[in-house]
Amino acid sequence: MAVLTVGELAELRKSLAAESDVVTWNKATINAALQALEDWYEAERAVVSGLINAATDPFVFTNAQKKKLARYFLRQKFRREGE
Amino acid sequence: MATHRIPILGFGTTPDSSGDVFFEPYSVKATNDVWDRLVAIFNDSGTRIGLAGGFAIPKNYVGAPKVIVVWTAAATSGDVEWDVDYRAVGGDDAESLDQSGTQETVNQNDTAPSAAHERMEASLALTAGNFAVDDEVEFELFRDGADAGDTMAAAAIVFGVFFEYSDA
Repeated sequence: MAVLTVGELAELRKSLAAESDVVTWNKATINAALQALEDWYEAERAVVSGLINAATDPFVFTNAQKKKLARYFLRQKFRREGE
Repeated sequence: MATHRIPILGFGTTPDSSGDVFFEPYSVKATNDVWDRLVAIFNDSGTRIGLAGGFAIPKNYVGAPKVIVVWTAAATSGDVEWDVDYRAVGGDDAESLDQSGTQETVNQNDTAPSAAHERMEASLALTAGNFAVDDEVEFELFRDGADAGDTMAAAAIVFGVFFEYSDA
């Protein structure tokens, strides 16, 4: 499992604080949540790749293409779901 | 004997090159957006970030020096580690303003406000004997995000920094 670095965590905390009217959590709490997201993503990466392959069989997207798909999908997904 | 406070963020105030210390209108972080004055932002960067400046010791300085940081945050949890590094330089053609190293480093841990945007004061006591009337004090105010004691996951919003002292 990848461990988020000090710099990566700081970058994510800054973005979250900038969009929050009130910050009720401390660094340890938000760091734990961010690491949980990282762990989930890494654990599911192979599963999602397999799901895409099964859905598009016999066509296989490259890993680089799947990353782009995921990026644009998630961006739109959160836009659809709203704040 | 009276206690005085003078503001010390004068024309020479300069953020460091990190990009995580900067000035912006208070309305960017505030909710009600009524008071639009400039504030100094110290981001939650995980590093030691600073705002440098300088001021002169007043003619009526005797002792009990402190740096007072007036600050707030949109956070209600966690602590901030404030550091002040400084050097007091005196005389006329006697002492260099370009010396390496600090004369003193002081530190104060302060807890986030109990409600967002409440006025906070952090008080950092300095060594009285380091200062003399008319000295030029070169200083840097830091938020030490690398210190384990800095746990607040939001920007610290600085409204003012003061030099407090007692006269005769």
